[in-house]
Amino acid sequence: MTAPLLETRALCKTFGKVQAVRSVDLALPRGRTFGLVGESGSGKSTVARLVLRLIEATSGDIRFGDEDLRRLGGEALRRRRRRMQMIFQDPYGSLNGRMTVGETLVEPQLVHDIGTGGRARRDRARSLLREVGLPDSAMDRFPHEFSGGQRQRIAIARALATDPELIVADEPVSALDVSVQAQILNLLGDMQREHQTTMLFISHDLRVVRYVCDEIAVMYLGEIVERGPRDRVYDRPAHPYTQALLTSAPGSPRKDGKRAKLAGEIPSADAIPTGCAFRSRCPHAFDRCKIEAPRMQDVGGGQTAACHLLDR
Amino acid sequence: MKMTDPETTMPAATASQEVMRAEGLSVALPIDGRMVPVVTDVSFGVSRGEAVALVGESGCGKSMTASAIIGLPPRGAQVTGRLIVNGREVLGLSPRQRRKLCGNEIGFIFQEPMTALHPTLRIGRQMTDTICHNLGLSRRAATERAVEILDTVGIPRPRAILQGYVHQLSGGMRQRVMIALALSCEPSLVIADEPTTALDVTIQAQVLDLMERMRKEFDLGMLFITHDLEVVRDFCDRAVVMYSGDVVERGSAAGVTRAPAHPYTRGLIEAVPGETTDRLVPIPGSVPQIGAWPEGCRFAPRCARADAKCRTHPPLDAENPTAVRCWHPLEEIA
Amino acid sequence: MLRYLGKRFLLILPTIFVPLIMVFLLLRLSPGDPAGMMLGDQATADQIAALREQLGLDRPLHVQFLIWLKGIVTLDLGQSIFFREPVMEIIPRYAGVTILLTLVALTLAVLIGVAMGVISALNRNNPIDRGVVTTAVLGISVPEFWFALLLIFLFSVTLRWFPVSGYTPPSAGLIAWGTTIFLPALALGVRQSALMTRMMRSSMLDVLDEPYITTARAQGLPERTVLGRYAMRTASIPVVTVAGLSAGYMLGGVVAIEIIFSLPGLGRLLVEAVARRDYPVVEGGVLTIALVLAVLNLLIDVLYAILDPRIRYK
Repeated sequence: MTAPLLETRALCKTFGKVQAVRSVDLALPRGRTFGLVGESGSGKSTVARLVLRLIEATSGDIRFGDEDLRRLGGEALRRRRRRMQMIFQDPYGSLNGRMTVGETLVEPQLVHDIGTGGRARRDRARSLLREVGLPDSAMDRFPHEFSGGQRQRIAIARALATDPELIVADEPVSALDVSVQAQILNLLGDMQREHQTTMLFISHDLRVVRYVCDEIAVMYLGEIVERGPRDRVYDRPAHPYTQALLTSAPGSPRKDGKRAKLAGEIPSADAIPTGCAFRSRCPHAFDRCKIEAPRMQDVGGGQTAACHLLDR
Repeated sequence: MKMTDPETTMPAATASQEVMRAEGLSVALPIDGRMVPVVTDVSFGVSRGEAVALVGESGCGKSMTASAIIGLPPRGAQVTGRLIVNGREVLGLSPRQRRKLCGNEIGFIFQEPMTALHPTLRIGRQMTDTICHNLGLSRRAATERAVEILDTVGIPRPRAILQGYVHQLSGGMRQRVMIALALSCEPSLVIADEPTTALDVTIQAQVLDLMERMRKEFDLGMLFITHDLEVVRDFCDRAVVMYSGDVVERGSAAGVTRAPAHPYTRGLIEAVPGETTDRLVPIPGSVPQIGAWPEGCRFAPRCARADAKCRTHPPLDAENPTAVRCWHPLEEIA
Repeated sequence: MLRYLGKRFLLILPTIFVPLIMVFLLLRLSPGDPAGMMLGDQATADQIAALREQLGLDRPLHVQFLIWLKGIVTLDLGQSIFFREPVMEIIPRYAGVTILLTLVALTLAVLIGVAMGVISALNRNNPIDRGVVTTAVLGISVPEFWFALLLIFLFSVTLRWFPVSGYTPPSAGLIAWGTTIFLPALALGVRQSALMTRMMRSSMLDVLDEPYITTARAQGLPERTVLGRYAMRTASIPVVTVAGLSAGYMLGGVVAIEIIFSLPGLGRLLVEAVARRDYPVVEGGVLTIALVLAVLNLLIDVLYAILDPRIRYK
């Protein structure tokens, strides 16, 4: 396998007393879709913003290709940004309502000096629109004239405008209706295959992540608790939290008609339990979990998990 | 005070008591100076102890139907048809009489407890206001009742919670408080509008289980408004599927979710990613805007089975609890 | 709650300190010799020099400031040049009228504003609403002094319900006091009440659309509880915020009103002191107004914290 496109080492982010991201190691293989799953407060969206340097990490390394992303500044960072794009949950909030769709798609080309001349850039904008399934007539219209699904198509086209190597998609289908969600998921899949883009896909919806992603990392309270190829994680979850997530979702298969329920709620990120952060809700917690934080360990097949039960 | 005159209560002898029945319920809203239909000819019933799902995507009219049932539709809305709550026709009632049904006979659980609970009034105040008014109890007795019901919905240290405000609670606790508030005056029907959509998966499971427990414990009729067919399959007895203001399909939850008769219902099921990574089959196009519904079958422009016949609006068998509004259904309805 | 109040109290200090420095600099940095200006054209060089020494104007600026600051802390604001008595004895005689006038005007403004705003919101887009909104726009555009003259003409001259001018202290009977304070307070409060009407209307309209209002109705609570307790509780918060600003505007408008109604208040004292170049009195007057404003704002912060628990738990 080739070197990963994006790699983080011991990535941390604190907001005052809140430890939002705690020592996250990620490696995104080129041309694949990497899923980051977690509930609210897990830090998954913070990771997305950290790797794009939309916010600055407190400590840790981010490597993009062969560059140390955290060292880049000014012009170099701006140039690098051309190769990384983001798609947000709310396509209405992320599109400029006063710009026509055409302008929205031409602007990133101008900023990153792609193409020569207005005509070439507008041609490219039209072909991007066609690629996401919108007619040329969309060029001169404004975002508010489109439905939620169509707006998300526009956001995808804009992300593609700079020919990025990495796309970070933060809950891109959560705000959409089921029937439209499927359209967008298919589009994202096609786009990723066609352009060989690497994608970091962030979602709370396990069904969606399973459909889209090749590799998955599960986050809980700012840490990755389990990571591995999709089928391994879904078929043989090693961490109790992953197991609970998988059986909590309605419609998921249940053993003997019972769902493995988690008691209690996610602790506040400014009062993280000692030892294993998950122990306050874990049905299997024992003494060691209070004292010692579990390390990530290999469970085979490229799957790793951080749980003391694996030593038993 | 709890309504006690014989007219308002159903005879206790009836085995399958219907707590609510809508017949030909329609809602129109004033948009740009004219009345635009948003819900048309909706008929279904909810019996004691039964969970009925009202399923559909945004704009299908499911929440509007719910607000018409509780009697709190948007300003200027026109509600027509028949609506029977505990054996009594309620659409003709005065606003004051109508309000008396709220809390006492119908409890309502909202999607977002953070905004549905008052930001600057103590939880205790909100609960006792309701209990005092509806059950005619003193503040002290109402507080005891509030403690009891909070305890029932699994809230630890209920007395401390009563002293607190909504912003101090976690998402799951907020929704439990919302449920407690809805149940505090012993309604016979509870309407829950997407009660778990705003919650995390693990919390969602807790709240769904709680609602199921409450339904059984208090023999409640429950109207569950949701877009999630998995929730319907796991938690409901019957399902009513809506599309563009119409009931398009009605039947048992298992039947509707496993062997749907309407192409739209099947489309919804196939659009949700499952255990395989086979390419999803989305429903083409998007939901038509309110006021711009197509003539005839409203789903026809997005339907692969549509033909000339679909230019007339298909009927829905009003008598049969299992029915489909389609000229070319996928399954024969018994 | 206590911690919150402590913090608010500390924040008062700059709101007093900034006008304090400005007053100090105003006198010292204004062109010409203040001592000369105070004494007028006929003063001899010796007299001016003596006054300069008395005021400490011959010292370096920072020393002057420290001396001046010491005077404030020890409540010694110097000697009035016109009255020839300590400023600290003059100010209290005039401050009471101004404070009462502002408080009554603020109360009137809030009462009128809240009532009209709520009436307007509950009659959204019908003739009553439009009438209130139009009146409010008129109210905002009318200057206080003009409204004051109008009130005098209507109620004092034509109807003879109130005295044309003058002041009776509350110690001489509340009703007598009321008749002398009502018109000035109304004139002073009218613009702010118009602002508050608009504020209350939009805030009430926003709140009526909030899900928690629907919840209150869905719980079966009667409309008067829903509006009176559930909606008013949150809808009034922005009005409280505005009341602090309004008090500031009113203390500025007080000058014109006191002159028109011949009220022996701080505003009139200040204008006269400026005309007489009685700088110690000017300093003292401005300081008092800043202090009153600061205390009023602290009270409003307390009210704010009572109304909105989200503030005090932050």
